[in-house]
Amino acid sequence: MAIQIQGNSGTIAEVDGTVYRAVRVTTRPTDYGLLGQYRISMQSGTMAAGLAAFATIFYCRWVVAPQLCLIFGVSMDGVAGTTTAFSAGYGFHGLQALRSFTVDGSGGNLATLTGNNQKMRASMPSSLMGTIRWSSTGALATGTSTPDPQGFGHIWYPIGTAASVNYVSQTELYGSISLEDGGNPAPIVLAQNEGISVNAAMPGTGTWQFGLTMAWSEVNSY
Amino acid sequence: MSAGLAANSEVYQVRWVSTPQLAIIWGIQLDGLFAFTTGFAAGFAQFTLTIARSWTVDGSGGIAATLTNSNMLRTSMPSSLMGALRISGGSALTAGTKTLDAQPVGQLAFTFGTAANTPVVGQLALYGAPSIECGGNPAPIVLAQNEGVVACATVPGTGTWGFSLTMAWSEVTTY
Repeated sequence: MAIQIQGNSGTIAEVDGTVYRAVRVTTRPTDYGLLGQYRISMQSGTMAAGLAAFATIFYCRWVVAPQLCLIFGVSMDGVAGTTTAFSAGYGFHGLQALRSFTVDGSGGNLATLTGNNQKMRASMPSSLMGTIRWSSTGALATGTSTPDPQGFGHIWYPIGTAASVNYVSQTELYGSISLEDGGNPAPIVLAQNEGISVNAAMPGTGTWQFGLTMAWSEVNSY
Repeated sequence: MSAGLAANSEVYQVRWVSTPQLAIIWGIQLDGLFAFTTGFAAGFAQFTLTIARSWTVDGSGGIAATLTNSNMLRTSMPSSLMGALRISGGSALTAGTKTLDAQPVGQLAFTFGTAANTPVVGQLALYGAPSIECGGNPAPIVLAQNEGVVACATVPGTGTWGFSLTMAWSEVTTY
């Protein structure tokens, strides 16, 4: 006996042709209800030489409850050197979870998330994200939180002594394949006063810049 | 592209003007960026993609796409309703009147050396990786009337360069 799948308006799901007889489907993002989906790209200024090892260069903090923040992906959009060359060594960028985030950090650039900024559709409400901050020229002050002892994702790469080198192209720290909502079936789920951060360890003497993009959704339940 | 482009210059504009129809932007990729015959001063560069709202006056300059009976993925589809699709011819586009979001939604950050005639960036998605095709990105940018997306470039001085972009979109009555 044939089974029909019927939508709200009475439309019945179709099956293709006679060869594979596949049900026609389209992918949709997580049902965000009355909240929404957001995405932000950030670029540093010229990062000064001598950054402390594993210094924080990006963090976000979720502060509301009971809503949840779903971090679908974070990518490095490039790490590049300039005319002031590095001493040879390794570069490292790691992403980790922050728990019990009670005091916000400071320094660097603070994202503007009011109004329509960063919405994927204008009919969505403004983001509820508490803070998104990234480095301008040096490390961020991280505030008070408990970072996990191990990260969720990282990249590690060699740095030579040549100047003006593109060390890292667009590379995912979390959510490989796709940063977008629905493209990663296992997002990081942030509850109140939780967040994520990205840190950096670079060799001495060189100056550099980086770009970073994050895609997230805000939901009432998940 | 001539030397001396101002920082964060608009080099690509897409404006959706219809209502109640919606434009679904699945993905936009930079197909390549090259240093041409006049080398650059070494320095940082950035290519960004930003959403534009309240777009009341179209931009100008550059090369406007011809979308009449063109660029459909199937001939039986109607011509695109896209209001404007424009790319730089050799310099920055005039912005028109609109409000750009405070931060981009996609970008590439890279550096230029001083060598001429050199590829600098290969094919990389500004938005919608790994596939910019319809349905390949489950969370597209949804444009309503007088909204759009804009690509901006910041490059070091002295050099001449070129770039190309590809965008995939759908036009729907509801989403």
